[in-house]
Amino acid sequence: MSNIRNFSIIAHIDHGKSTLADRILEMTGVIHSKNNEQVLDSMELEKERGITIKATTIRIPFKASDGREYIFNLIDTPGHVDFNYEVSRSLYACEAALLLVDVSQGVEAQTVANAYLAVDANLEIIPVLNKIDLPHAMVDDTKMQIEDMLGILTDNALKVSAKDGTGVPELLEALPDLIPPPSTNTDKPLKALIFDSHYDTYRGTICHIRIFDGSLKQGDKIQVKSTGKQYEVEEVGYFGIRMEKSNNLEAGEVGYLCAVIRDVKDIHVGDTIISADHPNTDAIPGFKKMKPMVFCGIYPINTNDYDKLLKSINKLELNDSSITFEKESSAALGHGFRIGFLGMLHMEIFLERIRREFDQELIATMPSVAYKVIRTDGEELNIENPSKFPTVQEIDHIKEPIVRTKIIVPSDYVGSCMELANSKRGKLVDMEYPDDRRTTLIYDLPLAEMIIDFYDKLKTVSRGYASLDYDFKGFEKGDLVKVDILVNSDQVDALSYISERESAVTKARKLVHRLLKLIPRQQFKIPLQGAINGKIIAREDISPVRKDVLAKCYGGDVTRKKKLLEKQKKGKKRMKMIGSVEVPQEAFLSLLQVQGDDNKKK
Amino acid sequence: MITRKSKGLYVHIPFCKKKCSYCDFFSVTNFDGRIENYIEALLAEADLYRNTSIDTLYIGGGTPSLLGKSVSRLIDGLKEVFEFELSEATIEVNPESATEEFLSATKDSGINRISIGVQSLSNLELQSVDRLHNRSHALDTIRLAREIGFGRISVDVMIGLPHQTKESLLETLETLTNLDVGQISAYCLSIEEGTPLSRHIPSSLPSTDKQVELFFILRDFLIKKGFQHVEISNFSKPGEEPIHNLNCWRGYDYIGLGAGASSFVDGVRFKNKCNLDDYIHSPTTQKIVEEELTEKEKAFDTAMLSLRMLLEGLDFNQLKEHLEIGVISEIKEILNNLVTKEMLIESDGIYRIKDDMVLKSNKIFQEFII
Repeated sequence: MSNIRNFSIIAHIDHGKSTLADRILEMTGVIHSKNNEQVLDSMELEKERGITIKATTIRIPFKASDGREYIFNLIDTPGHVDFNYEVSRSLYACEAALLLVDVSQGVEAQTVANAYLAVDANLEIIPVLNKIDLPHAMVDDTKMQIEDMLGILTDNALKVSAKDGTGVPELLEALPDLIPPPSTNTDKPLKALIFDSHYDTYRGTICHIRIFDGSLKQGDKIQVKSTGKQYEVEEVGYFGIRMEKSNNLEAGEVGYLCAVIRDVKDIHVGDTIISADHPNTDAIPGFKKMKPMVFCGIYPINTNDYDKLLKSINKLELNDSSITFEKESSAALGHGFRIGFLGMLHMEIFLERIRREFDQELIATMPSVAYKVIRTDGEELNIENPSKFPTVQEIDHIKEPIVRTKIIVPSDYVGSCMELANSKRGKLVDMEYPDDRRTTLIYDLPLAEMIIDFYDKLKTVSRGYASLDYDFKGFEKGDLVKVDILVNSDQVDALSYISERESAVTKARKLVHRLLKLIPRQQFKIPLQGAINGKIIAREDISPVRKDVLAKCYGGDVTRKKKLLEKQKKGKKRMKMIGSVEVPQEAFLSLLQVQGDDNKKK
Repeated sequence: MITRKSKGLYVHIPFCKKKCSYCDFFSVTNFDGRIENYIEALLAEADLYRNTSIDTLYIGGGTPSLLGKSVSRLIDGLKEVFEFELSEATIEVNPESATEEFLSATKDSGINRISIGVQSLSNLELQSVDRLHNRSHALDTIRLAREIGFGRISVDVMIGLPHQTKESLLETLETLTNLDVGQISAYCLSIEEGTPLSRHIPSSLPSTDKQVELFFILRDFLIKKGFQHVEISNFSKPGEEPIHNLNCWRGYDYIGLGAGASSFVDGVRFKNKCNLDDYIHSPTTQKIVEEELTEKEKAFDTAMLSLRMLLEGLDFNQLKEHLEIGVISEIKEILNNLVTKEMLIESDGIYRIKDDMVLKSNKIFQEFII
């Protein structure tokens, strides 16, 4: 029997996943001190935000108290609903999952979602109760929730405090028995799952793989199942703290593979690697190419920086093959890119990373979803940018993406959560009562409403208690219109948005009013207008600057007055010239606030 | 750029009986018995610059008229330390404290120009910003200064005071010009951070648009009366221009003495700390360097400040002397650009702000911030 044990830790956000991983690494001697906090979250941003964006894998040698030696492969998973598919693939690479639940919080929406992913991947699920040292630990309640909501027996549930290490040695001792060993069919032709990849400047795309059948060594000819592309293996190895070269990888093992794969887009998570000598080997089930759900435009403030921006995107794309991007040009903003993301968090993280990488001012436009526009001639268009919508006369109807949303919330907040979901055009599908203090609300929500600020709002109305998970359901017909915004009589394509017809006018008025406050007065009067199909539905005027002068400037104030001018000038640098109007970056995201206000009032 | 033998001298008198609600200059109201000590401290600081040649003197505040007859001790002391070759010696006075004794003493010490903080001749407007004087104090002070023999009288007027109207402004100006003042400094009331005014903005405060309207009414009126718009906030009859201030906008050096006073010497801007007790205790150790300008920064500052002088303008040919070619072309490019945008007018190498840009000139000045 193999001495390998492959497992993941799955948990709701903040339930202590990275902390438990750190304790495991310490107690097995992989890392030696507590200075190496959260080794698995290696990206700077991950540490700042406390969530795992990129999954990391690590090989852990473990000597049990009975003297037997094991190899644990801990395959970390991204911790957010945007990355569900990646999670499912990482789980598929394992035989078991530690279902980590914070006993001061209980089972949350992502606990449920992740547990289902693990069940789908046929994994052995091992409940682990975390934070048992806390005074308000609800061990029995949590156990009951796990049994009732997930149907997982908790007789053997392990109890730990990842923070102080209590229970972790016992957990390590128990793992070899609780996790089934992998099957080790080395005689069959090669079959390996790509569960992640990253880019190395010298070696190209490096695949993170789990071998199910056969084995792999330097010089082997391999083929990527979905593309048919063939490569020669240059190196294989394991994931220690760093990558460690090995002679070969065998069935049951987890490791990496380099084969001079130049283009990161040739490797997709979930794809199967087979032997080029056995091209008919079956693919591992569950592979799909991820489709981006949320789109936004990004533009340099200074048009000269276009090439630099492209370089920055290319660089980030190498380690995030789930984004899509294409060149886009906007009459208002010039040349830029339309980037597709898996979800809002994915977008936020990418934008933050690109701001750091690019190190120049850039404009991100309002996020949008992809709509299906059915023309009067029956043609169906897939439109990711509101400004690209056909004219009203050409449109027969519009379909928008809907997500099925699961909200788990304490019963006290059900009313306010339902109010919120209703205000976001949600349709209640079902209500469930997982235990006597909580309710599960199932809603169908337009993704367009979800991406704005639904999660933040949900947290607010439930005082942080509600948890959320969602899945793409499909496209449904909606009563939608495109609203255009005109600044100084010029239509600014980057400000166009799609709205349900009923609230279009109110929204346009609020947006125009918001822009009035954001766009500084200039030398001339600037009309701001909202329009549907050329018909003006909202208007405000920005009156011209009449006074902008340092009236008093004598010997005593020169330095101070210069500082004031410097501040003014800096503000100006962050603006985009649209025609002859200086527009601040915030203006392009002002619709977010308009919709946010909307909810506060309700 | 010009190198001059003489420097300007500014002396700060940081005493006020009461702070005006809009003022953010450094001054203290609790100064009982410290005037003499302060004067001695000023003279001790002056000693750092012994024998420096001075061509303009400006004693400002605060409220210099609170010095009373001690002003003679101050001026006599300065004369002893510096080489005075004064073309202009100004002192600021407030109407409520400008006694005959004080004015005579300043005259006798060689002060030849007085700057009176009139602000307005409407009692309602004066009260609304906590001024201590009224209309008759102001008029009496002007007449008294004339009687004592001051040839050059300058007055400050504020635009945009609470309750101010076009009529009340014109009445103030009419009366002042009839008294034959030679220079009027007209300041738009601005709300500075940390002032009492910024905490309680009166509802009677005219709007920005109203302020702009009042400013142009004032300008048109004064120009009709023979004044020239010499600087954004300054109107002078020919021969009455404020030389000390003009020199500062020309980028010339000046020495500042006193708590909170700023200096600009050899491209360094430095300032004394704003603490009266510390200054009296140790007047020569209060300096903080604010900026050390490179030749380029100095040229940019000079260009920006010179443009404030609407009449004299920026003489590019003079500015470019001794400047590196790169800096010259950078400044030239900015200037040409501003001409193209119709913000500046150029004639014979002299650049001036266009009339309609006077109250929007930050757009121009920003270009000279590096």
